[in-house]
Formats: sequence, structure tokens, C-alpha cells
Amino acid sequence: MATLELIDVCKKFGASAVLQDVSLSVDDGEFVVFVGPSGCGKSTLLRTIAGLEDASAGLIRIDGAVVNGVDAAKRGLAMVFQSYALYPHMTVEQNMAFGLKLARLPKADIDARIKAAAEVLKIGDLLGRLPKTLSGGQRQRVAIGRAIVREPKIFLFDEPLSNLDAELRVQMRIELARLHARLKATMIYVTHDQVEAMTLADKIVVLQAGRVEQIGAPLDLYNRPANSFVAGFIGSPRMNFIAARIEAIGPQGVRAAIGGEGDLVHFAVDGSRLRIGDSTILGIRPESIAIRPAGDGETTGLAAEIILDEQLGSGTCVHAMTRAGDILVSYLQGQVPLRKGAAVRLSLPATACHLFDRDGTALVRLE
Amino acid sequence: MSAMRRLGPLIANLAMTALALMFLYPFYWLIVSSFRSQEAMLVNPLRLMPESFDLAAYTSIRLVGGVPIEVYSFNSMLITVLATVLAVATTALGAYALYRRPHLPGFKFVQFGFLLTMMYPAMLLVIPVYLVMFRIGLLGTYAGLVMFLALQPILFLMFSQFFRSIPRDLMDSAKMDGASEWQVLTRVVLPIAQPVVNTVFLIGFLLNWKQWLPILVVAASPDRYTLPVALLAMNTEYGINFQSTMALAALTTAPIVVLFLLTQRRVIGGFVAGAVKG
Repeated sequence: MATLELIDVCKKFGASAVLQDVSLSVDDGEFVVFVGPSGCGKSTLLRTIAGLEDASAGLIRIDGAVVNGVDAAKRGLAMVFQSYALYPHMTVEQNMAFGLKLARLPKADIDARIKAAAEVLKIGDLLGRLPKTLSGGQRQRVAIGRAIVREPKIFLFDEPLSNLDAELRVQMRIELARLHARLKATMIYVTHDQVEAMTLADKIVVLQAGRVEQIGAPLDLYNRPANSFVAGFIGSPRMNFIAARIEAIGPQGVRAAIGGEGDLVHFAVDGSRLRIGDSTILGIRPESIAIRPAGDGETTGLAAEIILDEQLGSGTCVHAMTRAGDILVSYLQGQVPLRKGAAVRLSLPATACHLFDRDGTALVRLE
Repeated sequence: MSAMRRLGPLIANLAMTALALMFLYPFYWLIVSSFRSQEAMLVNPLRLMPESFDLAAYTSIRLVGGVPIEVYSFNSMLITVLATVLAVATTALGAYALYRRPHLPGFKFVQFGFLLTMMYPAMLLVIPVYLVMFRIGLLGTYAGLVMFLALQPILFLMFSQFFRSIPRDLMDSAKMDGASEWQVLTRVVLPIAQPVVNTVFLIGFLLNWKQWLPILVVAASPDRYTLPVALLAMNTEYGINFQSTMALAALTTAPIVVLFLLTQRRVIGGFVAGAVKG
């Protein structure tokens, strides 16, 4: 078990900068998830921590010791790869023993570690089999077992569930969470799946274009996104964004007109960086939008028409287009009888709204 | 519909049999001709069965150009085996190094250099090879012959192709497990590459066994000649003895035919493994 600290880590491949000034710290026993869209540099960051890539600049510290330039094998880390990377010509037992034999551990130690890991992962009956005879889930367990036997300071997982089918992925996700609780080891996990990130992480690091967009606990990121990218990336269905124009700025917050109808909404945010007339972006999560049929004389809320309803059984996803042409997605609990073409009114509670400036940076909420 | 289903495989089998016979016929003709007299062969060259099994040609080739046939056979086997082993070892290591560190200075140049040698006509190499071998004192030596025949760009390309098909994660995983680069190669990559190594070895063996021009150039005297060069020596200023030539050709071809028949499953398996993974 160990701590990890990255200070201004950069990685360049030729002229292209894949990681830019990445700084973060991982506490002992913490489960940290790197999340971001494809090509954001999350796997490169993990490989740089592992020592499979050299950092072009910056410092990497494990347990306080700088490990830049230290061989991957000597960093005391173990990695589970997306492709499992099991040695195809070795049995499960030989796969697990490979690293330990190279480290010249006594055979009794090797056997004991393999036995213990096999028990935890329930792969005891697979030890004599070759990887090609195993299912995807079994291979994944073996890959994790191979990491466990090395008793690493930090576990690194590079999208370990992405090759599994949806059902198995959910099952393995739960097993990974249990494994972390049992081993209490420091784990770093890369995924592009924000559900995996939200469910597994103690701390999420959101990356985009090689930069850290925000670091925080899953619900902190969900409730207080630092910018519109994080707000859009975390949460499913994703946050709705519509244009808002600043109409008034005061000590209690700002008033903005939304929806092209001039509806004014009060936001309790720090408007000191804004000016009257500024364009901003309003963000609201689908489950925060209240929706009701447009009744006689009903004038509050945004007038809209339903263009798509997705019945999910446990909930209903309603896509509605406002008169200004904005499409807002609302998620409603249960099976709601709203159908395509229906006229509705959308209520956007100010307390659930997020306001972002023109650059996408969230405006600080006033407590 | 069902008639078509039955006819389809039948037609395919007939076509494959006809194709196989087209390839087998020259070998069959060669063996039949080695038992027929020169006169009979000239009168009726396409006869399918010999008039009699005349072994005179096989006894007449015990000495070719004054050198016993055993010397040619020994040279063929020694030079081919050593050159192929050297070729497989060097091209495997070279291709692996190129695969693992493609951006090291000069590596691209080496790769293109290898490709260039494939495009260069062998005949144009005669004079430079002779001069180089003479300068470094390897003219007429086994070492010179072996070293020259070990230059096999096609083997290098086959290894390159295969190494590219191995997932990089596998090697990264071995590195994380604490394997040195040599251990990655010997304990992870080569065991996986075993079928490909076998295939490459066999192809190298077949290519080297039939070589004659470089041997004619580098070997300074007939006691370093191999069977294909001896075959060339059968064509003298007094004409060609077809029967003896066919007998020697049959002896020259026999070892590689046997070798291929014994190992064809592995050779084809190796090709398929590379193709599927690629």
C-alpha cells in the first residue's frame, strides 16, 4: 500500500502533447478513477505512472520517493490490462507465478500467494488451464490474480472491463469494489465509462485533451462540476445545456433570461466576473426538470413539445423542444404517459441549475 | 438445388486434383526420366513409364566433375543448415529489435536496406560479393558461403510481420512482471512464435538448399560445391547427359520434398497463425 503524487507531469509523443501539467495525489488505500473521452490521455497517464512510458517532464512520487527513470518492474506496481495480456503458452498458475519466479521468490511463497489469490478470486479450479480455454470473465479474474500475487504497492487497471459483455461488466464491477474493500489497497482505474467511475471511485480525475479538468469525490463532481465539460461528462443522461443572457447582477446572485422567451431565472452565484448582457450557459440535469402537460392558462415554465419519449420501465426519458429550438431531456421516475407531439411546460428550479460563463467555467455558488 | 450441392464439391475436388497433378507431373517426369536412356528420352520424351528401371545414371553420378557425390551432399547439408540457423537467429533478433525500438536512429534505414536487397538482382551481386569475400579472406571457405547465404530479407520480413501481430500489452505485462528485454524475448515472445520460427526455418532451408549462383561465386573450388552446383556441372562442353542430370536432380530434390512432406502441417499452421493474428 502506498501513496502516489504527480507534479506537473507532461508527456509528449514527438510534437504532440498527450499529457499537460497533470498534478494529483492519491492517498493510501484510495480507489482513484481516471475518466475521460477516448484520446484524453488517461491510459497514457496510467502507463506513465506504471513506468511503461517515460514522463517528458514533471515528477512522479510513490511513497514520497521520486520514481522517474525507475524501471516499471522496480516501482512495485501491478497492472491489469484491457486485453488481459495473459501469456497464452502458460497455464493460469504459470501466468500468476511468472513475475514471482523472475523475482526469485521461494517456491513455497509462490504457491502460498497463488493459493490465497485463487481463493479470493474463486479461480482455484482453473489453475491448470490455458488462457484460451477460459471465458472473458475468467481471464479477467486471472489477470487480477496475477496482479494480486505480486502484492503491489498500487494496483493499476487499464479499462479492465471494457471487453466484457454488459451483464458480466456489472458483476465484475461489484467484485472489484468488494476486492478493494477486502484488500484495502491503493488502486488506480482507467475507464471511459462514467458509471464505472461513479460506482467504484473514492476520487475521480476527469481528463480532457491531456489536462485534468476536475478532481473530486463522485458526488462532488456530480453536484458541483467545475466546468461544462465535467458537468456534461458525469451523469447519464447527460446534463442539458441552454443559452442564458445576464439581465441583472446583484449581491444575492444574477438574473438571466433563458429559452428565448425572456423568462428570468434567479441564480445564487457570484456574478462579479459578469456584465449585463453577457452570454452564459445554463446547465440542468434531466432529473431536475419538472414536466407537466400544458394546461389552460398555464404560463409558468418553458413551453415545449415532446419530440421523443423513451420508456425504460423504471423511468421515462422525455426529449422536448422549446420554442427557441433548444432540446431538453427530462428524466422522470416511473412510466409516465407523455407521448410524442404533446405540448408541455418545463420547470427549471433555480437551485438545481448550474451557470457557466462563456468559457464553460462554472460560476461559484453563493452559500 | 441438392444436385448442385453435390456437384459443387465434386467440381472443386476435380479442379484441385487437376491442379495438384499439374504441379506433381514435372517431379514425376524427372524421376521417370532418370531411369530412361538418353536415346529413349529423346525419341519419346513424354512417356509416363520407363522402358526398364535402368539404374546406370545413379551409379554414373558417384563422381561429378571428379568430386564424389558425398562431398556435394555433405556441403549442401552443412551449408544449408548453418546458413539457415544463422539466418533465423539474426533475422529474428533483428526483427524483434526493430519491432521493440522502431524509432532508434538508423533502424528505418536498416529496414529499407533489407527491402532493397530483395529488389536487387542477384546477378549484379556477383562481382561485389566476389571482391568483398576476397578482401576479407573468406573466398572459398565454408564461413564465407554460410555468411552470404544467411542474408535472407524474406525471413526478416516474415518475423517483422509476426512480431507486429503480438499484442504490445503482452510485452508490457512481462516488463511489469520484472522481465528483462531478453527474458521478454525468450520466455514470452519466442514460445508464442514457435510455429512461426519453424515455418521461417523451413522456408529458409528450402531457399538455401536450391542456391547455386552465390556458391559458384564464393566457392573457389569444386570441393566446396553443393548439389545444385554439381547439377550445373553436368552441363559440359560435350553436351548434357539427360539421364544422369535427371538422376542428380532427383537426388537433389528428394531431401527437401521429404522435409516438406514431414513438416507441411507445421509450415501451413505457421502461415495461418501469422495471418489470423495479423
